[in-house]
Amino acid sequence: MEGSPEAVRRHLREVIRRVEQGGSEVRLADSCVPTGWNAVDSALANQGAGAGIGGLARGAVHEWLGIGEHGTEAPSERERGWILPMSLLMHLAARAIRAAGEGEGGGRAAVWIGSRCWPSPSSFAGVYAELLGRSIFLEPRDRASRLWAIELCLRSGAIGVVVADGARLGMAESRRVQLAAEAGLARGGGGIGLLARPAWECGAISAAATRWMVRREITPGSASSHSPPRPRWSIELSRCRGSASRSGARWVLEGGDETGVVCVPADVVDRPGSAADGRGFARSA
Amino acid sequence: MWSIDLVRRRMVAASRGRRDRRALVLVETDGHGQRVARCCARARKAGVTTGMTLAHARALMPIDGVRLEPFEPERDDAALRSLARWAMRFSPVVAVDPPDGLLLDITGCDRLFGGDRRLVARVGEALDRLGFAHRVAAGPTFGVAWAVARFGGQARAVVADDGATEAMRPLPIASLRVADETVEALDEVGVTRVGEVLALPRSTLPSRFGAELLLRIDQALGSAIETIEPVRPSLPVSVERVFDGPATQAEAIELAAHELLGELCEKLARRESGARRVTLELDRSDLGPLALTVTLSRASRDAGHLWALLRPRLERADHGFGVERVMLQAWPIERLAHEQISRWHEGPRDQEAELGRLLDTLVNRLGQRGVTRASVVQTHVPERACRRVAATGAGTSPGVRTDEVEAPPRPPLLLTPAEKISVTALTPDGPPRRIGWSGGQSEVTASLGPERIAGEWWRRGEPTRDYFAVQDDRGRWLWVYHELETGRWFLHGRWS
Repeated sequence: MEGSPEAVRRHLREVIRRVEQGGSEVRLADSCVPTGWNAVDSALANQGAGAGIGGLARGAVHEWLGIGEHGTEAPSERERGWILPMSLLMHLAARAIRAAGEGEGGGRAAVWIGSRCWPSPSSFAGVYAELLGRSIFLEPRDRASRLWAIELCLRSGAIGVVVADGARLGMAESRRVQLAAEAGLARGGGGIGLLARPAWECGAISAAATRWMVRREITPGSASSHSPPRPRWSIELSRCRGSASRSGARWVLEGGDETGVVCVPADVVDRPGSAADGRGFARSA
Repeated sequence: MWSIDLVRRRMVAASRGRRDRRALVLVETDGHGQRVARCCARARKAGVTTGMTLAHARALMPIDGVRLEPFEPERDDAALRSLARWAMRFSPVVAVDPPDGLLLDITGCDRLFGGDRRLVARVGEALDRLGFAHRVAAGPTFGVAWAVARFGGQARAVVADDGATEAMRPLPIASLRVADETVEALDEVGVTRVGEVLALPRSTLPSRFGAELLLRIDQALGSAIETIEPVRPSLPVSVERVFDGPATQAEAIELAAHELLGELCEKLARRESGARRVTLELDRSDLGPLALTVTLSRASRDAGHLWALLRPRLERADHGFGVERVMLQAWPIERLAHEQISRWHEGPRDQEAELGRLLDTLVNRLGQRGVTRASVVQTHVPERACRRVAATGAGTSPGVRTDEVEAPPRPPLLLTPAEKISVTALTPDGPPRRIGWSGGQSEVTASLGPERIAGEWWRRGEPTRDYFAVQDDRGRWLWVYHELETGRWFLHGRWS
């Protein structure tokens, strides 16, 4: 651990927690899936029991809303106009199964529930090749069997990540899904659930651990400077269970760098953060 | 002759009994071209030998007098196995001896057939009726029987218990089942018969010709033990319960099925195997029998898991006016080793088993087509770049291999079918400037490309496409293409 007293304290707290829980079942890195976006991870660091490395908590459901188009969409355009933040979901799914596979030999599977949230297999080339190999695609016929499949997969110990079409889930259903994820963690599974929901459901209440709003941003610069295509998004942590104060933080992300993963764009990293950005940092420090 | 006979049988079956009078040659293809793998007696008479190039063989025979067929060793092996199961009518212990032999342990069986000679004759007659060319020999050891059957010169032979050495003496060295190199090495020093080998000082043999030679001699003469691995008959495991009169109560039927499942799993455990498919059959008094089948991704004998899969099916089943008999059958079954039930740490094996159980449950409700994996297809045409394959079934291990191809990045969202759009471009083949599509009118602010993807020539009339990745004024990255032949524009995908 680094020299800072806060870091040492955090580490000790984690060690005590592990001793109290009796055994090495839950390892430090196991309690959450680091997103790989430093600012986001450190903002999430204090969330839940895990300290040190931050990320999306395991055994929990995380909602991803969007992609929103500046809130200008006409209602008629809604259903067909729902474009899922596919790159972000793929990035997080790949991180989740990679973190789950470490040190255990056997990798866990990724399940994509609902054909609307199936990424095109040809986009899995390169860094995502492993993810494709471990992916299972489910196509439930109706809403009831979709919910059943989400619950079943989250409850299982063999699944690293469940990405599901979460449109039109009510509060009761979302609680069931969240409970299934917690039950999965208790059984030694501990996959994360990523529910994609359309942006206009931002008013719906749910039992998810975090809720993120994804909006599209314009990639600056001339055409030649971004090859391959580099779409940009801003993500906003609009709700975070257990710490209301942290919600509202915003980050900008960019896709399609050389390795294909989503990252914080270079021109944003060095820039002094926006007001919301600064807030995220301040809380984590 | 085994392969030839099999092909002949298939040909006769295919032509509904009409016999093909032509000579038959089985061809295998290796790196150097096509060779003769097996040939029939007529071809051999014309001078064809195995290993000869096909061109050479053709030159030896009249053009229309020969029929060529591919040589399929796997198929022949499978047929040999089924012939081995057939041969279990003569002895309970039958082993296959690839590529073309069967070994029967007839110890004690000869009495049932009235002696060795009668048994050999019966086997020969039965094989005659099946239409297979054959030679049958019985002997005190597998080694002698093997040698006499192949090199003895008689179609049916019996070697007396004390006649092994005498029977072996005149046979060539190859009859000892030794490697070709050993045969050649002995041939170089002028030893061509077994009797001559036996005359050599025994202690010098291993150092000069390898340990295998001595072992084979001992096996043939009975001073070393030889074991064979017998084929086992694979029969379905089944249990059944007959009701005293038609049962109409759903609870009674369910209870019976549940109990039967317990018995079935016990039976499977005793055989150290698990079921890949379980069928529950209900004999109904007024309707035909009803079969409920559950297919599993990996062999299982976990009663709880199987019950969870069967029960919902059973609940929906129509009992008619009553069920008279409940039968539960596991077929096919696979070997499944005993496992410790509880342990401290969950290893990767448990995880695989758990994934298997999960997939079974999913397939049971969503159907085989609702649970898939993606398998990558080698093509440049984006919409055909992958195929959906069932997640369970052959090759279920997670990890469909994907070759790491250096391909330009593809959008994660592909529209099928591609959406027709209107485009304004400055030059005919240039990038679009303005796009009209379902998302409205957009100005293009950045564009990359073109990337040309030609249609596959073996599909007639497939147009060539020029792909552009463009960003519009609202930050949306679109993947659009221009069909060169027709000049039409399509939106094919989005980076989202």
